[in-house]
Amino acid sequence: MTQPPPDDMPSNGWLLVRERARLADTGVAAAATLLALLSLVPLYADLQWVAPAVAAVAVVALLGAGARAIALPVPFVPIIEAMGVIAVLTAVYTSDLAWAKVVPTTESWDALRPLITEGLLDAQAFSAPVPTLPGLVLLAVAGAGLAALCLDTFLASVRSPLLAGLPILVLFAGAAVLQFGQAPWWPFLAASTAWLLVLAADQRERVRAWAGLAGVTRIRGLSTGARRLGSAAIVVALVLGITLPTRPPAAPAGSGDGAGGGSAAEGGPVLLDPLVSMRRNLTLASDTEVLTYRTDAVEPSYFRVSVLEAFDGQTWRQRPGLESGRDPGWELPGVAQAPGGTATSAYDISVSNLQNAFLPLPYPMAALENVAGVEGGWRLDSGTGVAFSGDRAATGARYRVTALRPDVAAGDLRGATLAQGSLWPQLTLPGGMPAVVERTALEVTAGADNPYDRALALQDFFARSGGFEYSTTVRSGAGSDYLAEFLQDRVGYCEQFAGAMAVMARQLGIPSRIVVGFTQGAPVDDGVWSVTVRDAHAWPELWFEGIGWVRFEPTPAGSATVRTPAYAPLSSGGPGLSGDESRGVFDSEGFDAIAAPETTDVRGLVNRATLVVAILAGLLLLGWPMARRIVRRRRRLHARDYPAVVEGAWDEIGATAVDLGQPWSPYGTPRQVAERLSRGMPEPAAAALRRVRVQVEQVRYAAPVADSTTVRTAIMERSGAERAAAVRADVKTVVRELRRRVRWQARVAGYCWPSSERRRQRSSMRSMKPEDLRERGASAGAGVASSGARVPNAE
Amino acid sequence: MGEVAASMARVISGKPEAIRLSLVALLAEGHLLIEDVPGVGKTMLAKSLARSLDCSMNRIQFTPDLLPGDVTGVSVFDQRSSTFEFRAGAIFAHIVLGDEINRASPKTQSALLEAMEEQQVSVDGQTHRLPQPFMVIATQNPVEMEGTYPLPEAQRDRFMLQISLGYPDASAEIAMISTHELSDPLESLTPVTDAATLRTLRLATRSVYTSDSIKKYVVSLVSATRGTPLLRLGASPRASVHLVHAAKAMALLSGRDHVLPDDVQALAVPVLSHRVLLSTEAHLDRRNAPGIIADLVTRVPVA
Repeated sequence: MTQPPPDDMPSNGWLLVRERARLADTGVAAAATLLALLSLVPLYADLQWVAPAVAAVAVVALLGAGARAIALPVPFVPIIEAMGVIAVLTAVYTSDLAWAKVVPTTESWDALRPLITEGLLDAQAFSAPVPTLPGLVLLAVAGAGLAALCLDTFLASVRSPLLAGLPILVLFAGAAVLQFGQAPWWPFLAASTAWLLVLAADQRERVRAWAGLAGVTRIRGLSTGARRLGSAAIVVALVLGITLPTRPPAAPAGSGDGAGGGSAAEGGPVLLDPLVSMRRNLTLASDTEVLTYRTDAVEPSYFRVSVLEAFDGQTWRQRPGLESGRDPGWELPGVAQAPGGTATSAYDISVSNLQNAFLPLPYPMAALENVAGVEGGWRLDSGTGVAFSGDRAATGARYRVTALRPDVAAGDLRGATLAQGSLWPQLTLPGGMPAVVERTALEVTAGADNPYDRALALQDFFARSGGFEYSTTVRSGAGSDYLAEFLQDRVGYCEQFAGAMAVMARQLGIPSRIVVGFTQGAPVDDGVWSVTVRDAHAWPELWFEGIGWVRFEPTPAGSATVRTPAYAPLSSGGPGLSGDESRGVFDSEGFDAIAAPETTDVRGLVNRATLVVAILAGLLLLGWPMARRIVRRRRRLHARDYPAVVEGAWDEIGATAVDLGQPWSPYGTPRQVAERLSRGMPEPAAAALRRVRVQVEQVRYAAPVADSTTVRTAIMERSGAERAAAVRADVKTVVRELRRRVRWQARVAGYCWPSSERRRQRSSMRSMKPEDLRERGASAGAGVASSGARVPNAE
Repeated sequence: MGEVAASMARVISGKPEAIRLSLVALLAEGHLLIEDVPGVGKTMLAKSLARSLDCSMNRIQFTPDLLPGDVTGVSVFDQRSSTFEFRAGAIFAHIVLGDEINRASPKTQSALLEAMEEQQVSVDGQTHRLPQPFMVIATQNPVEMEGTYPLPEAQRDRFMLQISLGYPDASAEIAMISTHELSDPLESLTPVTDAATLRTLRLATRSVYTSDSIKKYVVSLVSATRGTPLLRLGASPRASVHLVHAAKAMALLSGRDHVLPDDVQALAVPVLSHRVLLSTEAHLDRRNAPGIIADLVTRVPVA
């Protein structure tokens, strides 16, 4: 008889080991997520996204550990974690609108939603490495949170390392795909390490299950298999990846439209996509040179690359036909070639890096000559004044342009009349434009009585008097739904200024279009200028009957090389311009009043409801174990049949003992457990415990009533209800004694924060069922048998 | 049975557990393997058991030159009747004490073990039933000692229980010296029961109730020995059967009509530990089989 004394029973120690293992799983999940996140590093131009993403991962890990610690049902854990991710997003982006900086309100939601949309749009528009715009960072943070959530769920709750590999794979593969095969080698290493980490954790857990049974305290050399396999795989993959020839990335086709692709940060090819990649170019850290030119002009013209004339409510596009190289042309009534005078300047232009199939050209242009350096013909579209080829990039092109020097006087423009008729495609606006746009346009131009003054008023409104701010950190887009927002937030960059002014001009009856191109750049030598990616720009051109397309500059001086045309000066506070009037009318309060009518009350109500729900949810979470414990206590003691009552009584005594920190082990027999618990117990309680124990043994191990002839006749005479009542009374006695033995703090803690509920879940989740054991035993036994056959020889 | 135990205790001082386990083996129709160093009372235990029961008892001293026929018996040609006559071997007794079984050659060992399993002896095509109740108590020196043939695992598996007596404590040893001073204490033993009563008790043992949860518990306990990395070879299904039988006997000895997990736990080490083989890792950790089984007992949840 080598039965160990009851004190050796691993009542708490073994459970602690399990708890630690689960905690380790959460840690492994977080670590693996962080490793997998390294895949995103090459996707972003800088590391601004890292801190919030790590915060999201950490919050998920903490919430996961916490939720499991209070034994929340498994399905609720990811919900809690998701709420954590949302809280992080709220804290990072809309904390000033949120309650307590983290609990989302309707306002903060409203602020967050467009960011998400914008992030998704940006993700489509930009190619890696993308600038750390809020929307894109938000995507990274949300993605990190989601990946952490999935990993945590799969690893610590579902315990399926195979599934846990999925988020890692998605992060890595997604990032790799977005880099068009240009991914560096180390994210692969990081992702593989993350995967191995997950595998090792699983292996360790599996071994621990058995090691625990066998009393092994150290585990060594058992996960070497996974480690070796993984290391070998990584080495092979790396060697293959480095030595095998890879296809160079296809040069992006510069069709001038569609999603931008192929642009790289430092020295990579530059693709000026109409509007969509404008902001990317503006926010790029690099100063990649696009073109250089020599000119005799003192104030060189902007360089136009493409002209966007069609607006479908979402995006501005070029005229159909240009894209394919064919130019059916629209029937434009009276397209004028150039406004103003006849003086000319010569530009010798050398394009060093531009993937578009358009040549950057000054405007207005008199002649384009000597195109060299690129093959094929270039065609000039007379309606828009852009030179295009079918699919050839402009990179390498050298050409000479003779440009007219515009000499437009404000007076000439003021005399120009409105375009006749509404057939102008450049007047078309889609339906469903926000009313605020037209209202603003009308009010801004209220004091102007001719098209030029109206245009001037608009330009002044945007560039100076309207209080607009230049910033490239807003979301991109010039669609109609953004317009209203832009008018309210008054923050944006050239694309939005140009779009807004073009739309408003059309609403006022002035034909308008957006030109995408570059500003004149900066002089580098006497008469030599350099234009870089950062000089990318967009501006509106408005049509004036008898003069032609005239450039305006609604973008506030935020980008250095923006120049307001001489014929359209900004108001300097003097009289005669409508800017002052508009400023008086449209301060920010005025817009608030327009944008937020009587919905405030509803919003407040919703917010209060959110708050109440949040508080209730918090209380529910805190009170969850206690509530469940109370319910279980009732259910245990009021079961239907007698055996269930007895088992319930036993469980209840055990749960109470665990709650109060007294010895109770699921691994001991009823006898051992009761013996240990009753040490130092006064006689009535000890006797009660003994009676319950005997009943448990009878119910569990003795023959069913029908077969029994001897032992329990005395008990059988009493009715089931009476016996149940007796058992309940005994439980009461025992529980009272157990409570009496501990201090009141432990009593309160045991009631409000019952550890039995935590332990219950843990043991029910991980304890081995006999079937389970047999299965594993069988497979393990097979292994032993085969190795056992070799034993005699070995020894 | 209490009387048997008391009578045995008069001879074997300070070893109530060993006595209890030998009675368990007796009631559960199992055989007993005592592994210990010489001189701690292995033979005395077997003899006292046989004396108390009023059963026939034979002792076989196993030596390297012992032949299988010495154990089972041989057919001798009777010249007068011109027929072969069977001369029963030493195994034909209720209680057979096989002393130092690991000194005999494997051939002889297996002859004994076959008889143990089959409860009969076949010589020259004739089958001879062994007397009932039949029980073998084999003693074995620890295998590290010189000149021994350790029993193969398959044969150790046939023994229901393995116990080791160990050295008595000081007071028990002093008491032993006093009892041996005047006379052989075995002489004073009188039978307290007989073979017929024993057969009845064995039947009663079989009818002790074993609940499903106990069976599950036994199976998970035995399975655990197969899964742990510390053991190269776990216990066999026969071990499960033996464990349940032994637990029934234990319950009967405690005056119960049903088995408790406590019975199983108390018997896990003696029933299982001689059937398992330690892995290299366990050897390195300087663990031994009883220690590992005892650990397992504390780590498999009671059903």
